Amino acid sequence: MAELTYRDAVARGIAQEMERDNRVVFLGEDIAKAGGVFKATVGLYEKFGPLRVRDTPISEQAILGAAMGAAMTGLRPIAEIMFADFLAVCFDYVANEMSKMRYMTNGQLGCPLVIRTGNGGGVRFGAQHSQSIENWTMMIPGIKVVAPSSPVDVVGLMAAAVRDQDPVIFHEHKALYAMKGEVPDGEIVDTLGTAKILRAGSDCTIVALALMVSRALEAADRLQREHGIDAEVIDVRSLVPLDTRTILGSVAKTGRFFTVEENPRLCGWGAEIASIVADEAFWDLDGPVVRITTPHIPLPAADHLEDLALPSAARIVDRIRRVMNG
Amino acid sequence: MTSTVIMPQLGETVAEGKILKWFKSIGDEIKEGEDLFEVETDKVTLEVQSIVSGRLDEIRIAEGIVAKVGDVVAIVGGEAVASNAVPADAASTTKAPVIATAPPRSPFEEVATPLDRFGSVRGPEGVRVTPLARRLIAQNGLQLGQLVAVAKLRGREKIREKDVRAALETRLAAPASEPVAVSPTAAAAAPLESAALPGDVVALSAVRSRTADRLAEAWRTIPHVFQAIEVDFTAIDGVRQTRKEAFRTSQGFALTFLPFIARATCLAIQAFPQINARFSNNALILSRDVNLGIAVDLSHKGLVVPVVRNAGDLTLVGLAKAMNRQIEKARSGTLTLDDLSGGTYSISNNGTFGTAFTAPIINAPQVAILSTDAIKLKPAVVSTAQGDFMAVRMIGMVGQSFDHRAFDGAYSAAFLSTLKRILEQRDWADELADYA
Repeated sequence: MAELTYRDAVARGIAQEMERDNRVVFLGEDIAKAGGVFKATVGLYEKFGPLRVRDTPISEQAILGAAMGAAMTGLRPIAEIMFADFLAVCFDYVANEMSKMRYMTNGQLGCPLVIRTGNGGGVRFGAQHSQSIENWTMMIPGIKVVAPSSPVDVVGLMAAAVRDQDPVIFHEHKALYAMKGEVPDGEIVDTLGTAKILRAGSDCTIVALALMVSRALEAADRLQREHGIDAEVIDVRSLVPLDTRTILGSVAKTGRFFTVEENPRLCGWGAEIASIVADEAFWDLDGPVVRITTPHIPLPAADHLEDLALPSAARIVDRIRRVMNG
Repeated sequence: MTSTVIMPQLGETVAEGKILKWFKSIGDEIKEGEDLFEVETDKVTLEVQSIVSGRLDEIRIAEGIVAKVGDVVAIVGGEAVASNAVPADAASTTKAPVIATAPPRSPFEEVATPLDRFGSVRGPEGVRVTPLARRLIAQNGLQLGQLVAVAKLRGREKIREKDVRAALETRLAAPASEPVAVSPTAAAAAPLESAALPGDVVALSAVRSRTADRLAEAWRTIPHVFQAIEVDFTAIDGVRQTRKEAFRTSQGFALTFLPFIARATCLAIQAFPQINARFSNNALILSRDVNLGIAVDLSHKGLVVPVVRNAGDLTLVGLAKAMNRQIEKARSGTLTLDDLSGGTYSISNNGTFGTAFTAPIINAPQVAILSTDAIKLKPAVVSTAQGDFMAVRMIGMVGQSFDHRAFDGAYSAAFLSTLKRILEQRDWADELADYA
């Protein structure tokens, strides 16, 4: 058992898979010699050499194009898109090419690759470098989407993503890179499409993702302490595939459902889950489904405005308390 | 990762194949290239090899069953899957995993909308009811009206899970099917009539509420007429007294007046078939069989009317046994829907408490109901060849409520008169000859 930061866990997870399978290669901007602009890939270049850990030009299209070709011809590439916002630059590869390859070739070709990217806000990078774009990615048929909230999940889900037969987008949260957590020694392999109940509760269900998980947990503690509301907190972890069984099971137990989402409200990931809950769990609901999200705005760079925009523990507590008591 | 095994294309013109034999069982490890199953078409029989490695998780098509080409015949799970296998979830990478044991859904049914319906969010008096509350109310047989009354009493406009749970707890605390007493809180401030008067709200049990609804409907829609006739039960009582010990010993239950009345009713109905009928769409539908409903009071906790089928075909003893069986089932709560349906005429017996007569409400869509009350010693005028004189006799009233739409008072009176004659003059000893 070791205490690792979230950024160390990224390097550990990639190293674990590169050691296991020499088809795994890693490419991106400044990821090799510099160890990544977020220092999440330090030591990989030294350990695995320039053939398998490659710096690329500043061209997102080149990165994903190369990764896709490598995946189609037998490698298992991991590609970094430095800021998740930049996925828009190379979205054709994501939305039209790698996600459709298995289908268009009737299974003759697949794209077993991982796109890891720095997602989310809270670190004062402004409207073009702070977005939570997990909802952009989850709407594309043919792409799997994960977003870990802790170092141990980073390692385990990275392994699961690399070993998957299809393209997986791996959203790392920029504000979590410094987060520390216990990570067991030895190989860790998690399962895509599994949510985790991080706090059991009986009064309401809160689902959260990535940075919002720790805020939801803090909110749940305060709801219990200050308002006597016993909330169950679920880390969704994987948007595609989605672990609806865990979520619906929890709603069946609590009768109330809340999402905490960092993405802007309109068409956020929680809207899809809310729709499923309203549909499948309608007769388990004892009140409206409520989403707590960032408003539908470009994210401000100013400290206090950015803090105001993202759901905070205080906002989560306030919203849930008012709805539950109403 | 799981893979599907499909019925392969076995030839240009072959559309289906019959699985003759599975070489592997569920749980077996399979290696790529191993024989998996044997298939027969109208042209050939051949072995099909697995193109994946893994564990055989599921056999969808059993031996001897025909599957179309392309149908999934098995599911192979496990880690070791050859890269050219079609993963079962490849087509569903964006699909939410549903309950694992459920069969795979079509892409157009990613969400499983429940088909149950538990009523509207809008309750009576503008009260809103959450979906979960509605489901719990329906599943637990609670009456929405009672919950609405309690909510109103407490000044609330919404019924939620906790309100239903509270009502359920109150019901559990009380004996089974006892009316639920809900005390209004002292803080209740709703300006309702019920709140303005001191006293407890007695919510009705499910049985009671159903009874209430049906009775109110019958009373509202049927023009009731009641007639009663005095019957001398002395002869029956004589037979009963001499045979009752033998009867009890043999049958295990007491011989009451009720089977005599039921038997006489069945006999009288033969001459008055319109009594044994249903009123429906302005027509009277006569029933060939007499299915006799017997009203049974459940110790003041409700009323049920189990039916003795083909009562007209039964002897006095046969009727007594059948009625006793239905009454026991009613008291032990083991009546089935069959026991409660199909009645064509009913008898309500209120004799236990000494009442003189009762005007019962008709059990719609039947058109009449008989009532019997106390049968007791009374002074009566007896006419004999030697003249009229006073005597102490066992006298009881037998009454009938009837639907005036179905027939008139004279018809009902003639029926009662016939019934009286049968009760007083039939050779009952003959029917009880076995117990002499």
